Amino acid sequence: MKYPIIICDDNKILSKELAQEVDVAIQNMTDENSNYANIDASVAYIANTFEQTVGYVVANDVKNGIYFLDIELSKEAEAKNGVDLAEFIKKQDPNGQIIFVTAYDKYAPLTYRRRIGAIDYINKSQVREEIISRLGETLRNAFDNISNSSKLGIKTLTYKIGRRIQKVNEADIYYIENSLTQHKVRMVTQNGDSEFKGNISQLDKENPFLIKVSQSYLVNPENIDEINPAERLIIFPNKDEIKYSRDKKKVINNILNKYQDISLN
Amino acid sequence: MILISVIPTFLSILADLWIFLKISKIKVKTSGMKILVCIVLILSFIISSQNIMLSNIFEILAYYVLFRNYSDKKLILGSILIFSTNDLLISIISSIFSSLLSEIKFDFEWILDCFLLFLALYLIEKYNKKIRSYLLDKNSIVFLRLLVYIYISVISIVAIYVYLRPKNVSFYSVFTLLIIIQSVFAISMYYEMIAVQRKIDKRNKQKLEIEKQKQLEEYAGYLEKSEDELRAFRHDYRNMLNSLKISAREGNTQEVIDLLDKYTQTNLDSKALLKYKDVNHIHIKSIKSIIISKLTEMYDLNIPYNLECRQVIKKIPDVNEIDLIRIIGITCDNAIEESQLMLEKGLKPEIQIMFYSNSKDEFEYEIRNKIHDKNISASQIQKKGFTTKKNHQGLGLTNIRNIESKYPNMTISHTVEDGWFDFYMMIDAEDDE
Repeated sequence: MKYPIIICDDNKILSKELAQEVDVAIQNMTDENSNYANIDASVAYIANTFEQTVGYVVANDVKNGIYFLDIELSKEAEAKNGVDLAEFIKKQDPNGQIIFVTAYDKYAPLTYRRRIGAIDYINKSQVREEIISRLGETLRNAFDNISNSSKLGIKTLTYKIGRRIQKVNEADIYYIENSLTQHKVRMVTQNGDSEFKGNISQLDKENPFLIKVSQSYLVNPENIDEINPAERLIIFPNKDEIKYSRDKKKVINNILNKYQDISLN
Repeated sequence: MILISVIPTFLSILADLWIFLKISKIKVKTSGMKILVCIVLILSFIISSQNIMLSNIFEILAYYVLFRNYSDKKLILGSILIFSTNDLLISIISSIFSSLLSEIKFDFEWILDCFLLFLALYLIEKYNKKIRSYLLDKNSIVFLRLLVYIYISVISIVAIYVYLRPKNVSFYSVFTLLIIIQSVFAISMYYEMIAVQRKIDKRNKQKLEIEKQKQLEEYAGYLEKSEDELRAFRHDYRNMLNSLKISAREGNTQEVIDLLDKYTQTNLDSKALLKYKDVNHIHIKSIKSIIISKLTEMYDLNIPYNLECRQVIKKIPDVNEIDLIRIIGITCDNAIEESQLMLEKGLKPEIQIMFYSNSKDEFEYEIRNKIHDKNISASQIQKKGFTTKKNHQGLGLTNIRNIESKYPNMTISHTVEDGWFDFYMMIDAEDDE
C-alpha cells in the first residue's frame, strides 16, 4: 500500500527540515521492524501555503495520505490556518491521518484531537533526535490506522454528541441502556461509557447486530461473558450485570445456541 | 335554604382542587384523568354532606392515589395537606363564630364560610410559589413534617368537637389552646431553623468568595511575575543575540547551536512561565478560580500538566455554575490523586485539560490523565466508589452522574485507552431535534 506524505509549513526552511526528519524516521522504522519493511511511504509534497496544499490534494486526488500541518500558516489572524486545512483534508481524504506540528506555546492536543480527529501533535522546538523518535511513533500509528480502516469487516456504529459525529467499533460495544435522563441512552464499551441522545427502539432497528433483551437494554451478543438464567442476568467482561425480561427467554436461548463460548451459570 | 347551605361545601371542594393544582403546578391533560378527578369531586361532595372529617380523609387518599406519579412526592403530599388543613381550619373558625353569635337569629354561616374560603384562595394565589419552593428545597422534609403536625393538631380539634361534643367546654378549651400553642411553637421553630441555615449558607458563601479572591490574587501575582520574567527575557535576549552574532562571525557553529539549544530549553519552555497558560481566556470567574486552584496544586506537586482553552469563554449554557465547578473539581482531584500515585511509584504522570466553546450554547470540558494500571477498565474506575465508600474517586464519579441526570443537554463519557483515563463532558443547549 502507498502512503503519500504531505507537509505544510509556512516556513520553507522548517518544512524542508521536517521532510528530512520524516524520511529519517521512515528509514529507521523499516530498518528496525520487519513488519514495516515493505511499506511504501515517502514525502510526496512540501507545501508552504493553504492553497498549495489544497491544490495538490485535489489535483492528485490524494487518498490515505499522512499530513503534517503547521497550525499557524500565516501571521494574519483572518487567514486560513492549519485547522481549516485539516477540515478540508478530512472531507477530501476521510482516511487521511493528520498530525499537527507546532511550537510549544500553541500546544493544544485535546482541542484538535476530537474536532479534527488529528492523531498527534508534534512540538517542533524540540531537539532533532527527539523529533525523529516522535515522528517514528506517530507514523507507525498512522500506518496502522490507515491499514485497519481499509481492511474489510471493521464495522462502526455512529452517534452524535452535540453536533459532532462519533464512531465506535461494533466489536467494542457491550450494551446500550436507557439513561436516567429522558431521550438519552448510555452506551458501555470495552473502553468506557458515554451518553448521547437516542432511543432504544430506534437503535435496535438501525443496528441488527444488537439484540434487544428488555424494554431498556440492547446487548451485543459477541461480548457476553456469562448468562445466568435463574436470575435472568447477562454478564459482560467488565462484570456489569444486566437483567433481561421474562418474555425474552427465547431470544436468550438463541444467543446461547449461536455463541457456544458464553458460559452458563 | 338547603341550596344555599350546599354552596359553600360545593365551593370548598372545587377550591381544594384549585389549591392543589396551583401549588403542585400539575396539569390534568388526559380525558381519563379528567373523568377520575370529576368522580373524586362528586364522591367527596356526597361524603362531605355526611361527615366533614371523613370527606377530608377521603380527599387526601384519593388525591394521593390519583396524582402520586405526577410530580415530586413531597410536593404532592404537601399540596394535599395544605388544602385539607385549610378545609378543617375554615370549618373550625366558622363554627366558633357561629356559636359565639348564636343569639343573632340569622343564618350567616355560609357567608362566613365563603368569605374565609376566598381569603384562603387569595393567600394561596399570593404565596403559592413560596409554598412550592418550601416543598422542594433542601428543607422540604422538615416543612412537610410541620404540615403533617399542623394537620394532625387541627383534625384532632375537629374530632373533639364533632364527636365528643363536650359538655365540659372549659377543659377542652384548655386542650385546644395547648394544641394551638404547640402548633405556633412548631411553626416558629421551623422559621428559626431556616433562618439559622440561611446564616450558615451565607457564611459558607463568604468563605468561598474569600477563597476565590485568594486564587485570583495568586493569579494576578503570577501575571506580574511573568511580566518581570518577560522583561528579563527581553534584556537577556539582546545580550544573547549579540554573543551569538560574535560566535557566528567567528564561524563557531557548534557553539552557536549549543547556545541556542540551551536558550530554547531554559527560557522559552520555563515551566513557571506556562503555569497558567490559557487561563486568561476563561472569563467565567467561578471556573477560572477553580481551575487556578487545581493548576496550582498540580504545579506544587510537580505533575506535568497542560491546560488548553483556545477560545475566549465569556458565557456558558444555562447550567448551574456550582454543578460545573463540582464536576471540574471532582475530575481534577481524581486526576491529581492518580498522578500522585504514579509519582510515588516512579512513573511519569501527565494531565491534560481542555475547555472549548464556540458559542454560548455550547461548552466542552475534557480532562485526561495517565493511569498506572493500563489494564483497568473505565467501569472499574467508576465502580470503586460503590465498594469502598472511603475511596474519593468512585464516589466523585457517582456524584457526577447525579449532576448529569439533571441536565438533558449534558453528555458525559469516560474512556480508558492507551494508558490514559479520559473524562469528557459536553453541553449542547441548542436543540437539534
